Amino acid sequence: MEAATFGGLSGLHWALLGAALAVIGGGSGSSMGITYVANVAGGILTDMPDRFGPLLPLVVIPGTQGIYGFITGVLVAFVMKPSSGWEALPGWVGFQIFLACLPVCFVCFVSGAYQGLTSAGAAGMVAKRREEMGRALVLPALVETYAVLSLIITILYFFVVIRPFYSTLGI
Amino acid sequence: MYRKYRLEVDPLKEQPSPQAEGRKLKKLPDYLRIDLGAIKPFHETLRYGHAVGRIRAQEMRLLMPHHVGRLIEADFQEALHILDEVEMGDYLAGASTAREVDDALIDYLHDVYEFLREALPKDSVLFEFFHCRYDFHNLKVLLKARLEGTGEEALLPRLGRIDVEVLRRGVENPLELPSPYKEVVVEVLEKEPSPPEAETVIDRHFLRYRLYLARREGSDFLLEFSRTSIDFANLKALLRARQLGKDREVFQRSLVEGGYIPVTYILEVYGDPEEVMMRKLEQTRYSSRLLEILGEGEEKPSLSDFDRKSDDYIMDMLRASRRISVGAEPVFAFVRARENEVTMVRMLLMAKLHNLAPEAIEKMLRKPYLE
Amino acid sequence: MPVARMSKVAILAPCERRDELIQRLYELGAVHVVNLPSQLGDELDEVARPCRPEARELRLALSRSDFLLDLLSRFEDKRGGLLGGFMQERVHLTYEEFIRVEREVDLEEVYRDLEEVDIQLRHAESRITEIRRNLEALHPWRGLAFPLADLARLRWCRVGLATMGLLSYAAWAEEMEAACPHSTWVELHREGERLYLAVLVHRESLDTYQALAQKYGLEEVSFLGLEGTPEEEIRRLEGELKEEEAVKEDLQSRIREKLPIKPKLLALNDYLRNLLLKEEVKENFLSTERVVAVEGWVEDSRREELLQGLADLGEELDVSFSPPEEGETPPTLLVNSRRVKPAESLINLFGLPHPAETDPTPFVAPFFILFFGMCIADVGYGAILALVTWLVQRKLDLSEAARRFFRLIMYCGVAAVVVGIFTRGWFGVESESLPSFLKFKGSLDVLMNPVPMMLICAGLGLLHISIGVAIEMYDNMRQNSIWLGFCEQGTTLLMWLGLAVMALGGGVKVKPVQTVGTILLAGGAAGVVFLSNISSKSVLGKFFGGLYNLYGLFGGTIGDVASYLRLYALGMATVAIGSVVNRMAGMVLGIPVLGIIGMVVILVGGHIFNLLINLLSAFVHPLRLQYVEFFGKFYEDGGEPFAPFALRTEKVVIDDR
Repeated sequence: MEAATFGGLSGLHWALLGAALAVIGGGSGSSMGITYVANVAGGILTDMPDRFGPLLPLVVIPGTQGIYGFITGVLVAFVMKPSSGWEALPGWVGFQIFLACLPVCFVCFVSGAYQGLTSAGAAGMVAKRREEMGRALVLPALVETYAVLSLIITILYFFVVIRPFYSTLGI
Repeated sequence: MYRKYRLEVDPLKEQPSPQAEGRKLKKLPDYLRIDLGAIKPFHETLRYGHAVGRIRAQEMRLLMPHHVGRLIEADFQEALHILDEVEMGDYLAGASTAREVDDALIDYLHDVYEFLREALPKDSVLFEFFHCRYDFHNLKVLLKARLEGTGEEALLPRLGRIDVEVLRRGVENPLELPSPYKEVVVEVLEKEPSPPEAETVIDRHFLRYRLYLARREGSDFLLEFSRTSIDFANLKALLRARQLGKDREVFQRSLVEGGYIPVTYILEVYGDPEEVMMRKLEQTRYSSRLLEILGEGEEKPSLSDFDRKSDDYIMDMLRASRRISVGAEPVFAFVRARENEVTMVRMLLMAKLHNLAPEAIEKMLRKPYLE
Repeated sequence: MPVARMSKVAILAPCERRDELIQRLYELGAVHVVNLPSQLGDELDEVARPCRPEARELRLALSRSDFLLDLLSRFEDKRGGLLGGFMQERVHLTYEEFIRVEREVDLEEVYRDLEEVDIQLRHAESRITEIRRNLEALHPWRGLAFPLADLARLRWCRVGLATMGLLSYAAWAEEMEAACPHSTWVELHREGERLYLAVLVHRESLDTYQALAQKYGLEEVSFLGLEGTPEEEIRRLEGELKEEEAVKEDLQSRIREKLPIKPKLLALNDYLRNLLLKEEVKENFLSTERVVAVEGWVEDSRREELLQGLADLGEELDVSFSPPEEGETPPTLLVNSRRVKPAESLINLFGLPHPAETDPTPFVAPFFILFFGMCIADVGYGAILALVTWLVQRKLDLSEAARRFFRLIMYCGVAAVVVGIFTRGWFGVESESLPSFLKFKGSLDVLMNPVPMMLICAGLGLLHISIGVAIEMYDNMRQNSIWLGFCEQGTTLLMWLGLAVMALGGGVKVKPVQTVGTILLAGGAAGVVFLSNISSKSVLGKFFGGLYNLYGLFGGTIGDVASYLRLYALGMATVAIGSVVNRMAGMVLGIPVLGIIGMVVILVGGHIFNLLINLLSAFVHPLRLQYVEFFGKFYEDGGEPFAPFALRTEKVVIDDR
């Protein structure tokens, strides 16, 4: 059973740690980001209640990072689970899963918060001119690029790098 | 990054002001604090986000250059109609004399401050930063009236935070007053100075109180603003003292500590001949602007335009701060814009009441902050 | 496809025909009027002046109708909900009815009525808040059975009403008893930590009392202008409150009575706006004593129509056309077929192209729709989206712009269905549990086998940016020379083509194809090095500039193509969340009886949530790909929108035009 643990933790432990970190990073980044925009949007709405429609997309746009974290968590739980059960997962593969989760965890945390700041600035644009909404929406989307890239890399690691070990190990 | 400053100048030995009591942030125990608040953009967005949002919504209703252009051409009644397009119009409706215009504008400004107080977080002293000017002004008027035994002129009763009655009682009995004002009155009454000296005492307290508030608020921008205004006050005092040939001790008393240019430096410069002084002053942080402000190419630095030009400098500072989308800067700039708006409209309407020609009016006006 | 060609039109007309001319131009709606006085500057000041519009009356009327509409809309029953916020009220009229509306509504009278009512209403409202405030202030003092007015009238003593904190009460009382023997107090009320006292003090010990009051934070309260006991006053005020509220109710109902004329007012508002438009257009004219001059832009294809329309205004009218001169930029008008037109709104969001540029709409439309489809990548969601947007178009009364937008989204929904068939996206149901006929050969399992889909995204990305560069090449060839176009952009295209062919060859493992690709790639790269900086003056500049371009291209291409991988990630996000929803619903099903209900709730709610979340990303990210990656290759904005002088309505829809 020596190969079953890595650094004292079993494969399941490592995998769960990674998944949890991804969800925590993405979720906290998003919630911070949304707080920042919502704060400004709330101020605008106090005086311009009719701007709710154009402001809503700006408020929810930092929420995607949370979803990326969530997706990572879900992928670990459902897709990375060996067909013969978690017990069969060796510790070192679990550690790989853990490493693969890290891009989402960190990038989504930081980009979520900063996207909130960008959106908060962009919300000011919408307050001034309703027609600016399209442009105002594109600016925060530039920040999100890196969250998307981190998700892509995490997925690539899962399926292209780690999954092949499963068949060699026969689990 | 915020609240890390230790006060270099003792702000005031006593407690800040009674209004500030009970407003202190309840802090989490240290082990629970994730100090994201220390990162400036995050901290400032959380703190001023709501206010900035409300301001962005209001900004559309500021006076625009096209309004001003039309206002210059219009007669009094037309001007009121044009002003109807912006928020101020509601207050000015039906005004026909100078007094009514003044009252209406004061009402308007009062509501602007009320709006600000509502929008800012409860523990923010930014609001006090604007208000204290009127309190000091009122205090100045009352003290002057007491020292000279003349009537109280140009009180601004509705704009200060402290009721004029309280101030009036306070002039007799300083201990009743809240903190910065208490010390002012005590100092003035102790020394029994001449009215102009009393004025410098009050101004000094005012500038230092604002510096204190800026530190308390923890905003770099406010701090820069306060220190710059202290510097300009000192420079102005320097120029005036040289023109009048005052004693060094007398001059020293009119200087305020806390600016970017140390007081000792200014004192050192004071004795120097003209060119040496100018050269030394150029080495300060205002070098590029100072020449312009002091009147470039002229034999002697002139005071005539000093106020206007230092104002321009500060306006430039504000204009640059417009690029910051969320923070204390937009709030500050907004209130300044509203204050300018009021000054400008007042000037315009008074000119209209006195039937001044449009060209003459145009010269008097300053640039508004939205361009 | 280039933007519409414009000609400059200059019209000279006798002054007395000015109004007729304006009316005719307005009806034709083909001319984008240019401000002539500002163009000429000070040159013609002596002879010709700009016409001064007389718009004050109109502006006044307009602001009155704005006020009325504002007032009425406050008393309307609002259509709630998210959709209600997006919808605008519209009035349908025929042109005849629209013209007649001014005679049907007496704005003056309605304004006078309602303004009066509004003032009274404000008055009543402020009275009500004042009374409420008084009532609240009086409330703690109800226990005092002593008329308030008499408190101040006592000769030897003073009765003060005061409040203080409970904590300092004991100390205060003790000191009071010691210091002011001739005093007494009653506790009237207690609220939380606050005490409400009536204090009777002899006038002689008033000073001590006040000093103590200060020390212990005792605050005196006074009720000026109130006579009777608090109880009586409260009763009186409550009576007044009822009255005022009745008045308010009455005034409000009077405003509501006027609600039926709101559509008419809306129409009138638009009508006045058009009158103002016709008046203000004069600002752009130049007039001498006899002649008025108008200048503007007109589409080439509408020149004849304009000539004919103006023909019967008389012989004196002089209309001449000329092509745009050097240095003049005509306004931009995009001309596209009905199918592509919906995507114009995406261009407008970015800013119209400079008139010398190519209109990118025909390229933006298909790629945007495809990318959107790839981001959703689910048959179920796509079908719902298409259906909902189709219904919205059919059932709701939308403006032309909104209708176009929904049509665009409908196409996107259809694209999502198509993509979903190939990526086995059926409401996020996992691949294993799908019936086998849906897993036909050629369809992909995006979740377990991501690489092919990523390659497809990268390929599409390469194609997309190639088209961008190709458009730039076309513009370059059209404006400069074919050779320059080839050197500067063609070499890049060649290199990318080589890359694509090489990758294809490597993929299908056909050696010759790969070789051809490598040769193309090398040729393209050499072309970039030696030719792309051909316009540089020195030989070294040509070479090193080219080398630098190659370096930039290398990094840029990787970055751009990687950016298109987001399409995969977003498509997969939809599937992943959808499958979680399904699993959760499956777990709930295990609960007896309630299980079915729970499952339905989770399925419906979860999938709607998923769709909404992904809709936003699916809109924003393809848009970003268009704006940043695609437009970055060629697009120059800076076009002024073509805004012909014509009938313009906001709230009114003219049915027969």
